[in-house]
Amino acid sequence: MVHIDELKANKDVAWKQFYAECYPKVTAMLLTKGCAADRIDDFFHDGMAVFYNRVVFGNPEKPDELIHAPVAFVKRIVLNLFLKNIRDTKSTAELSDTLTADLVDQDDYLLDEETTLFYTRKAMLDQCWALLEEACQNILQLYYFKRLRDKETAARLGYALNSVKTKRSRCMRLLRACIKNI
Amino acid sequence: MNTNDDNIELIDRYLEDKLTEEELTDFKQQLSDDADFRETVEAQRLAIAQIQHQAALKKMRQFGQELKAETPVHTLKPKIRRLPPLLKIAVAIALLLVAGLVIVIPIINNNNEIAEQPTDTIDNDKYGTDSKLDFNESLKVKQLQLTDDIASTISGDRTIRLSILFEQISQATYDFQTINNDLFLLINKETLDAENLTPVFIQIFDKDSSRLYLRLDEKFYQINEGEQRPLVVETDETILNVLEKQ
Repeated sequence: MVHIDELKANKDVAWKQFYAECYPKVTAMLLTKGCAADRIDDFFHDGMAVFYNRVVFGNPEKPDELIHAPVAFVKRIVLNLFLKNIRDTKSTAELSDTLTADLVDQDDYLLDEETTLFYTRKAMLDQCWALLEEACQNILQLYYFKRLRDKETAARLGYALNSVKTKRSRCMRLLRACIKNI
Repeated sequence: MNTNDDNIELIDRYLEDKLTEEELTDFKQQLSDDADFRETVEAQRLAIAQIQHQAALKKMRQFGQELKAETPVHTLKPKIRRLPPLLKIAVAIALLLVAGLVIVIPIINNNNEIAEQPTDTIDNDKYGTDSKLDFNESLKVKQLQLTDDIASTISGDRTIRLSILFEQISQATYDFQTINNDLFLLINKETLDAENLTPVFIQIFDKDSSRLYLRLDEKFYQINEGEQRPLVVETDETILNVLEKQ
């Protein structure tokens, strides 16, 4: 069993082990809730991505958030994403509310406000992200996710330093502009 | 407000909670005063969240692919157990014995049945001297046609009444009569003529008994239901004679 401290250290080995530990449990849970088998990976990866960013970058809403049971935490995130997906895809609010109420206790619905808002806009955010060319995506991910300096990014991608700075600034401006229009 | 690179850097530091107290005070003041700035800060926050989410998603998908590639695919192979040579011989002998029994027992039974069957000609001592039908099978069907002369040939001293329910011609009563230990069936020929029916008697023999059926049109009626003693039907071209052996 992977400890949360190993995950906070952000070692790929620990995360991979955690992935392998979570996957069968989350799969079993989703199947019992009626999730289609071909959608399980989507929900699981989304949930794991949320959890990863919570652990590595922290929760801006709860900076001192403690996670004692990582697997249970992931299961709850994935379940919330699955239920939110059901609510969003049902045309009748009352029907979807009844459906999700049957699937989970109200106490389990613990998606925080920020995450809920993020996922409410997820489809549009994904569209904005898809507008960026691959080079843009790579530079932004290396800067904001890998926390590389522009000099390191330039060395890794084989660009000139000024080119990286210009591209990062331009790509971020494009992304912000798209998000502002949501 | 002009969102130049310096401002974006400041926003990034604010979102990472890395502003000094003085910078933070100024920043919050700007947030409350400038709607465009607020919008830019929110857009930057969402953009970073999206970048991080997409990167984490990519990482998780990659883990999934790597784990699937690393996990050996177990194909279930049927377990084949090799029997010891002696056990193989024993099983073969047992199978041969079973096969032999399955084949031989029915043959023996069949021969016994053939031996028990009546001879080609009815034993006259058993069925009477007038019995002329041949029975060489264990189950036999005979169809006997009635003729116009039947009524005139029937007479006697004892009558057995047997009621048969006809679905087609309401209820009719038929008389059985014994004459010198012979049982005759009395048919009301006028009734049959009126309905334009031709009665056909069918006797089915099995090993220990026989059953007599009357067929009218396409209907069958069993007229000696429950009889234990075998009946013998004798006929020529003009008469139906049902014999009851005592």
